[in-house]
Amino acid sequence: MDNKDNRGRMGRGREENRSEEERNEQERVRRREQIGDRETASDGRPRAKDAFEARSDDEHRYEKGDMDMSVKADLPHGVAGHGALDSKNLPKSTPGWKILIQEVIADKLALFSLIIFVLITSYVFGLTMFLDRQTIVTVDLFAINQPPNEEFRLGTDYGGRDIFGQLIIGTRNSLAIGILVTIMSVGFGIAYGVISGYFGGQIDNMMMRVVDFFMVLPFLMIIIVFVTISPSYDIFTFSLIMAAFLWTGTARLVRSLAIQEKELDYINASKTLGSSHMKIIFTQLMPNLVGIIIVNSTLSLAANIGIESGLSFIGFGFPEDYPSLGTLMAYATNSQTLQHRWWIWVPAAVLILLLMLCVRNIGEALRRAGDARQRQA
Amino acid sequence: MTLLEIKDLKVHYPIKGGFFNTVKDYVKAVDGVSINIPEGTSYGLVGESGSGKTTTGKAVMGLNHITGGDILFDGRKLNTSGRKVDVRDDIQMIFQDPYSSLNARKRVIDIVAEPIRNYHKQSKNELMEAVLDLLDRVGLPRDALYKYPHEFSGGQRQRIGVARAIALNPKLIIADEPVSALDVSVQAQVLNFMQEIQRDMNLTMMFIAHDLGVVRHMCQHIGIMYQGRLVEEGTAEDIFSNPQHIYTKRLIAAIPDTNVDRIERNLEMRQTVKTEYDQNFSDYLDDGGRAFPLQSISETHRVALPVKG
Repeated sequence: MDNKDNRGRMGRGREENRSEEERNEQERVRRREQIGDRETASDGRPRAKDAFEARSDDEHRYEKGDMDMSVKADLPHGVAGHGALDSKNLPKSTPGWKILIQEVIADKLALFSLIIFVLITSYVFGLTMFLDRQTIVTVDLFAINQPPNEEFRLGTDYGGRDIFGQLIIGTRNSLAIGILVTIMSVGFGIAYGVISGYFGGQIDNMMMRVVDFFMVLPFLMIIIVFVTISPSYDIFTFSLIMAAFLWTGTARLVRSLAIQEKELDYINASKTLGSSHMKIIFTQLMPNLVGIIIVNSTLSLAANIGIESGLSFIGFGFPEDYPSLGTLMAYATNSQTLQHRWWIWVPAAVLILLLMLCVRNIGEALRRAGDARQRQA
Repeated sequence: MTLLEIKDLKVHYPIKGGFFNTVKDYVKAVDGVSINIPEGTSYGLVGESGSGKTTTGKAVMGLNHITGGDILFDGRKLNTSGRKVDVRDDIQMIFQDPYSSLNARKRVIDIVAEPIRNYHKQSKNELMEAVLDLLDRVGLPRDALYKYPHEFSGGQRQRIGVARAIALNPKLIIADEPVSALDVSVQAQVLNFMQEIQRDMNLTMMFIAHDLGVVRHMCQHIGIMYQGRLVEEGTAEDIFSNPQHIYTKRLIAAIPDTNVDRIERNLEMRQTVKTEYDQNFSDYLDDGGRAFPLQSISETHRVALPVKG
């Protein structure tokens, strides 16, 4: 080829046309020969003309290298290497909870967060059983604004009340409210959103107008009014009134994802395979939304603790004798406290930060466990 | 014996618009298609994108609403109002996209076992046996059982799709462009093994494709669709050796030929067909831009030729 090219280039103008033709002819012959070669070269017998028949003796056997992505989680040790598997020698499937645990253990940050979170919650919930709220919130004028000392481990506030005791009970209250509100609002929001998104059409239209209605209500205002006029409320009713307004975000998020997912062919496939709507929603659609649901619920858990603290901070959550992390933070509105009595509000602030970070890290690991493609274990 | 009979199928979608969001017009995705598929044969439905092939297939599966016409399966009418005739274990579908048609969160065993769980009560061991048997049949290794779809190549995923479709021993399979998402070498594998399975199980197949070569390889009968209507229908022989409609001619001219010697001849042929197409195509459509009704020109061959006079 090179030679020919060189000759062509060197040839004088008059010869060029002729040599071009010649070259074309040669080229054609060479190509034909090559094709002839190809047809018989590899195995000595001519290849079939039809491209599709070329593989008709293909047995479709498993070729090595095709799938050597090993599934560590699913195969017990030793099985993967031992060639043929018969029905008695099959790998056991890994149950879902085990995958969760493996995933959390593999992610050191999540493991660390989980340990801290469990320690804090069990310490807080355990200790509240021995602490008496009444004695803690009793005003003691002889011990106001004391810095941390032997008697009061985290000092006292302007009413002489023990900050440590308030912190423990307050954390318990804040956590309980956060968790309760999250369970209620996210649970309802998911059910609402999935149904709305999956069935679509008129149902979706109507359900979303209800959501719109809830979203235009000024929910902080309504909670404040509720708190002001309600003679008594406890953790549960307070959570319920918060959850009644906080589910709309989850519902809208889940609906949009459900609409996206239901257009995919695997939902259609499930329909043609005879699965009922409920079965499709729970076994096909939901597992694909798990990631976003977990992220959403951990974020809203953190947010709900924040909202409760915020409400208490501005004075419309629980009263001072019913401590939460927010009421402790509210002491920082006093500039004297903010500047000179750090022991009153810093521990609460640190605890809020710590709890939210822990929840977030755990949620991240759970999200990965829900998605086989992102697992680290 | 005819297994699937589609009579004058129409699937129209409304176009809404204007101030009051009223129905302005209809998109006629499928507009009067009639197809008969005899038992044990393959019927190829070919056409360009948007010609209504997939819509026709989905209408048979009951995944679309149907504006008009009838679908009869084994003599039973499928699109009855009121109680639905449940033939989902007799009609199955292989989907076009092997990526989106398998749930990424499910293991192969759950994917393949889903139809069996829906229709037969079986113990865990029986189910396992059945799934393993299906995996063997489509040529997947047994340790694929607990893997997730993302651990497979496109061709292997399509095999999982096929295994799922044949799990209930259906009579009719609607294959919606089953190989168009695969690369050519894998296409041949999947097609060959689909043919094997069809032979073994005496399946009837409706093969939707836009690749005429694939259809020629797979199907005895072929229908060509254009804009929601059939323009030509006949045996593979009829269509390939005696195409009558200009649209069919153009499609067939577009099939690539690997023979180097015929490059010039093919090019010339394509040019003539193209000129003919450009000049005469409007003659093959009525005033509304739709294909004419089919007319028989031989026992098996029907073409949408313009009505004379």
